[in-house]
Amino acid sequence: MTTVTTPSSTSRGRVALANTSSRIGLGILGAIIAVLAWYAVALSGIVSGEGVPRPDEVVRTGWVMITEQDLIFDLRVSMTRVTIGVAVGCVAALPIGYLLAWYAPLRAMAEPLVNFFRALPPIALVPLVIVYFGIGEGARISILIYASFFAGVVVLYEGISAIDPLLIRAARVLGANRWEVFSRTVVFASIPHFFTAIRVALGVSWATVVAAELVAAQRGLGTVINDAASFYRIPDMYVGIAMIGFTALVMDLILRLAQRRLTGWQEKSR
Amino acid sequence: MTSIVDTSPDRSQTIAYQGIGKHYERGGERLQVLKDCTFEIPTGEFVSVIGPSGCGKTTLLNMAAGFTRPDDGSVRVGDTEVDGPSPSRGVVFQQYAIFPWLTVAKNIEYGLTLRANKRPRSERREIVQRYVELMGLGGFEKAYPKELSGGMRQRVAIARAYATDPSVLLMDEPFAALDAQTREFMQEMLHETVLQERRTALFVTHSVEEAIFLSTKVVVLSTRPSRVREVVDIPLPMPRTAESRLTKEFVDLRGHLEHLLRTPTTDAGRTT
Repeated sequence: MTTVTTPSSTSRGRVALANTSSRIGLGILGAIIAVLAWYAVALSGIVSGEGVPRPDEVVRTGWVMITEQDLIFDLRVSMTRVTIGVAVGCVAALPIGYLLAWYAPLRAMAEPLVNFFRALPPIALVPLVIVYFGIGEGARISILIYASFFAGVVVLYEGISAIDPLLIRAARVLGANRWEVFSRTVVFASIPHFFTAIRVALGVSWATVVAAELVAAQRGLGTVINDAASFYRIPDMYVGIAMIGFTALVMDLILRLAQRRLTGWQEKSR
Repeated sequence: MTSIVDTSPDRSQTIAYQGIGKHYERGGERLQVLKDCTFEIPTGEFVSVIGPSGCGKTTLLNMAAGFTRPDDGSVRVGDTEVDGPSPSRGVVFQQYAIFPWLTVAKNIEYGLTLRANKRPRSERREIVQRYVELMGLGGFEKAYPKELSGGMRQRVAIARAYATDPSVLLMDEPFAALDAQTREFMQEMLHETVLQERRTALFVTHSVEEAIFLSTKVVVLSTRPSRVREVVDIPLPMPRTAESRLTKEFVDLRGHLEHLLRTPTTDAGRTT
């Protein structure tokens, strides 16, 4: 395998990439540029007041938090919440996604509602959740389930309704009954969309975890950020934010690897 | 010009179009595509339908497949009127429509694993093996469609259609997406297969040459609203080979069919 990047024009005029290693290389390059830009902002002092901590200060603070305040425990707590939220949300979104994709009248009825609820910022729901669900773990996770469900259901019904009708026709002329069209064709054709739904839900859940942990959480990365804000510890806030970003990135990578394994049959249209 | 009534005793697989009319609504406008269209594909024959674009060739095929209903008239296969898709009528689509998540062998096997056509595992394996060989797919049994060329994908689709042992085969411009060279190769391969399998076939195409090479009869449709303009017998000897394309009869038939397609239809010129 060569690591030389050879961009080549595709028919649509976009620049395509030769291989995986060049993609990883460019990803790392992007991260380096971002860190350098961060240094530039931190050192230039253009941000007034407390200023912006340098990346190395944030890394040092992070190390202290890991060794002395058990930051990894916060990470695990948040990760567990997000995982449960995404799992429950997406499993609930799956049958609803199929129903909405399959029955046009149902979809016409539900689509405005779905978009209404999807647009609500989770932080706005926190007071209501406290009123109805209290301040326990269930209350926090319910916010994540909410966010995952609405993010996932949209991806699912859009994806499933875009399944090539020709494949369904082909199954029918080969003798598939309604159930077989679903279980032997639609289900397989929707696997890629299910993965996309999980990935989108995961992203939205991590973006929501800070709001969810406003519900009287004792530990968690969101709580770390919220507490740091209360005590005006700016580097700590950066550490919490960076940890969320990194964890989301790693979880997404793992999902993408699993997706590649399970849907290797898919044609790449990069 | 020949009679379009099948006089052979065996009509069990005959596809009969009787007085077909069909219109579409396009932008609030009523577009009459087919009008009083009548012809037959006799049992065991290979009949191509050609005509100007937009003349309703694919619509006719979709009616036999059971995807579309005519406004007027009826489509019968044997004694039964078509009223929906059935595994007894195999379809090969222009865009292949093979299942991307299944290997070549699993694609061919698909119809045989469904309740309507279920066969025991050993029999399935035999059938798959037979069509893998017939279609020259040996060595690719475990390959996924994305690894195959267009020509090979279409061979998988043809094998899959044959595997469930349909009484008639309906093909909707199956080679239209292929390059010229692959196209001729595929025509020859399909021709050999058809000779071996002796199955009634309806073949829709834009290509006059393809229609002549494969068919026993060619149905020429008129411009919209389409009727049958002429049914042309193709008496070229079987089996047909690459050389058949160079014979005088072939060239003459091509001239005649191309002339029919080029000249506008007048009512006097119509054959009904």
